[in-house]
Amino acid sequence: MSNELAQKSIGELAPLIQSKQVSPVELTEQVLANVDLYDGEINAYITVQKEQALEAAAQAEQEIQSGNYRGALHGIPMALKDILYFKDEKATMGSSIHSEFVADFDATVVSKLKMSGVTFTGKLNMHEYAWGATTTNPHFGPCKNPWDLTKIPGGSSGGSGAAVASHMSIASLGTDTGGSIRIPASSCGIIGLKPTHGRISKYGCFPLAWSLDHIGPMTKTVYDAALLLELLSGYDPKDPTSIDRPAKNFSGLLESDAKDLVIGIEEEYFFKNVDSRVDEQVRHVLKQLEDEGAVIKPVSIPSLKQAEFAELVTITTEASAVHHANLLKSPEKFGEDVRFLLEVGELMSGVDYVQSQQIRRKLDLEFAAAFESVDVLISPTLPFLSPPIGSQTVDVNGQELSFLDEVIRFTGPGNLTGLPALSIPVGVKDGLPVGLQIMGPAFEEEKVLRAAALIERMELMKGHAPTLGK
Amino acid sequence: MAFDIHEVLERKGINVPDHHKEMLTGQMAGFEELRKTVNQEQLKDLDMALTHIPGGEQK
Repeated sequence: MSNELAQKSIGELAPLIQSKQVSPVELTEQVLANVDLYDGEINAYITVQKEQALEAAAQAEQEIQSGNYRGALHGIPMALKDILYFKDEKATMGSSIHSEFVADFDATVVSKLKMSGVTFTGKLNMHEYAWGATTTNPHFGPCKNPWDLTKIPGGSSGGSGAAVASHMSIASLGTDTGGSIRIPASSCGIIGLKPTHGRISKYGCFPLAWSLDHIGPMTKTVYDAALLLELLSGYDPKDPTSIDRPAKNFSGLLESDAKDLVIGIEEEYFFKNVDSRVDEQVRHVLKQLEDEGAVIKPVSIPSLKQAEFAELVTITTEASAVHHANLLKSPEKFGEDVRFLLEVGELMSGVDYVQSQQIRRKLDLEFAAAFESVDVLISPTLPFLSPPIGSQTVDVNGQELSFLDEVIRFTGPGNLTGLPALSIPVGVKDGLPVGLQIMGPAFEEEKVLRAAALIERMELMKGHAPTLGK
Repeated sequence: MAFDIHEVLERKGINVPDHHKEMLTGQMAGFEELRKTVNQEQLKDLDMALTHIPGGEQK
């Protein structure tokens, strides 16, 4: 079976579905055929819902044939990270403890996607409880990177990254507490957008760390990310961290000229200890943007020096609070790495936690000051290329560094401040994608998306595709 | 007096596997290094980001 349709983006498929040139059933069959072909090796899915998906696709087709087209997501096959609740369906959170948990309501994002007519093909693999960035899941098996099956896909939303990159899902959603959307997006060569904290409701998403958690799109194109953002945005009284800001027509705000763009570069923090292959690729993009008329401006955010402390304390403390009862009752049911991190969180003091929140306030103020003179900040998403599955260390220019210490160094500040941040693929080095991170001011995701659209137009991924999913 | 991190966990009722003990010691030594980055003087003037105003986030 051809899988040509499954390789397309939402933006390409929607007009074809609306004009009845493409059947949602045929499209879903192609996506499911890819799952049959590739998922035995990649292991991006925890559950495949084949029959349910084909029934939903047939229903979407019938509705569209009858003239009831619901919009760009109608009939689009998607699988989501298995941390989002679907009413009367299992949500495992990638864990053994919750392996039989059945939610009795839909997450707000799930409810919105259902209303839009999305066809759900299944639940995707993830790092256990989203507490880690490898997706080497001890309960459901390791998820592998479609670009190189010996490498990690990143995490915690590794299944989402791998599924979208190998066309086993047209798009997906991830969750991001220290980088869990952007890290797998960078590792798997797709777009990952963490919106402003409070922009998308987290109601019905199992928490990792309340004050840092976000939900966001993981897609093949910038346009698709914008489309999903505008659909999923909006105030939700059921989520206490939701903020009442009107959703914008993000997909209609992508056009811009590099001449209107001022890019901030924070060299001291965001370009320190970066793999030379990643550094070279990101600087190449900056040079190209400058050649097109963008202004590059150095900025200083001194409190970034304290960001690693604040991120480590906040994430470990909040996660250990979530899992405290199970850590006492049945610690052996957690994977080794998650159990260890939960123990670390139990060792943080109240003073550490409060000081971390003070540092976050300082970071908020310094980032806000930086955004008075620049539109966006650009950096690498990760300081390294994807390491082998099972490796506890990463090689950065011949230095062996701890994976855990390095992995959220550039993404963590976006969670501490809640600022919008996106990862976009900007090339391939030694067979693995390189991701570039764009951060923007709070509730101005359009600035991040516009800069990403300018970079996407450079076609830096042209001719590159994962080994699987070509 | 030496700070026994395993004892702290065990007092909380958390069963720590033997092979975690060395790892925890290493991790917390690294954390102590990170703690040195915290500028206590600068923090004095900063209010906490946490608020308890009903609906405060929506204002």
